[in-house]
Amino acid sequence: MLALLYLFTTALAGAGVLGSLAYLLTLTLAAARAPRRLPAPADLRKLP
Amino acid sequence: MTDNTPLSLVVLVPAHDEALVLDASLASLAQQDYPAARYEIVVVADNCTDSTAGIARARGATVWERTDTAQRGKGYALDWAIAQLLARPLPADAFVIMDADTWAAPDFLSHINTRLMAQTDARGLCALQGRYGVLNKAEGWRAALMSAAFDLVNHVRPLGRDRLGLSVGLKGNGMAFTRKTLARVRWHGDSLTEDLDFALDLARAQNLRVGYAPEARVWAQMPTSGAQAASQRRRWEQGRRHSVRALALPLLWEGISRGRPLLIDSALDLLLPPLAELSGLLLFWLALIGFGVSHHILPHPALWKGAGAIALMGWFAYVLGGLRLAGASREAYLALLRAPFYMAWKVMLALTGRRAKPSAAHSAPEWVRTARAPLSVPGAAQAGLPTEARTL
Repeated sequence: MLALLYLFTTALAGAGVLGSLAYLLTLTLAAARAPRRLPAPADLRKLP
Repeated sequence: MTDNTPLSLVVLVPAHDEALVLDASLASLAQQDYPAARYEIVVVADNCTDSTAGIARARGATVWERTDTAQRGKGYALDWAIAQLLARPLPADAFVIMDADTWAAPDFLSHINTRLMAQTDARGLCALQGRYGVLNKAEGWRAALMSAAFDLVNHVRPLGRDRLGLSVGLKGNGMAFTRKTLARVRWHGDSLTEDLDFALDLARAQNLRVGYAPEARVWAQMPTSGAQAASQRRRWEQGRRHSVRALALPLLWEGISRGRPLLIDSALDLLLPPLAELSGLLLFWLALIGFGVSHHILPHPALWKGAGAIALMGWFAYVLGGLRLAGASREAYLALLRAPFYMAWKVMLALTGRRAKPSAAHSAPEWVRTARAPLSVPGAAQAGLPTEARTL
């Protein structure tokens, strides 16, 4: 019974850790693929 | 918004007894490379007992003094000011919200203008979050660690979300909205988590995501002492726990049942533990695996060890890869060495915070500020502010 509880706790903690890290890494990979060149603002001082 | 005329902007600065920091903050707004005739600074001096209003007037800002002892707090102040701004005969095209302890880069408004012009939809709606960093990251390991956390949470994640077409959420500082956006969805004054609530309302009611403007940068001062940091952390944790309990699961269900990715992602973001807690959970899990494998409690030991190794590599990939992507400072990497102490401190705070009965200030919206020091100009240089911004 105790071994089963230990197994369940370990599996639950693992699901939390791996799920969170998978989500964070997905966002990080997407961020790495974001365009590097940022849009430059127009030179607004030249505008009326 | 079809021509190139810069939008008329109102920069709204909610302030409560901010005499120490407001002048430097307004100075950064005064020297924007944006046509002076196209933006107005409005300071809401909310229930102030110091010289906040006088300092703002001396800087040429429009000052609205508000005294309401029953409805105190940033949310109420913003709700009140936004209603007044919208009721003007000629309201501005868009509103920018910036905290009173914050420095804006000289091109902050120009970038906000460019993004608003490019991203406002056919309905005239647009919500943006600028890049919100730490000003005083060279002033001690706590601020440096906060800077590393901000790099990951306030830059890498929003950049990823934006790339995936998701809402980046609102961080409470350096935000911008078109007038029609604020006219359609009301700002919550009576919430502990008004930024979160507003972003969710935009997603729910208008199917509008908050876009990210990484080039529009603001920096705010972070606490450097343990007591200041504890006060700020307790306040943030209180808000976060409240949101997780009240919102996360209903939001997840709503997102799934209505097929709305914006809501599902917002729920997942809420459910995600902060990095310190995730790191603690990872260590706890690795310890469970180590004990379970060595005492033959866990079946398939190779599988468990492999999963643990993958998680550990994933953690390093996220933290180090994310910091590299954010162009984090040397101080931020060095501060990571202190992270175990910070984790232990946060766990202690969480435990004592859970035992302690929430104070009225923590359970209702209220101005509960971190103790301030004057905004430091040297800190601005180390934060990587452009040269022009260091000359305040």
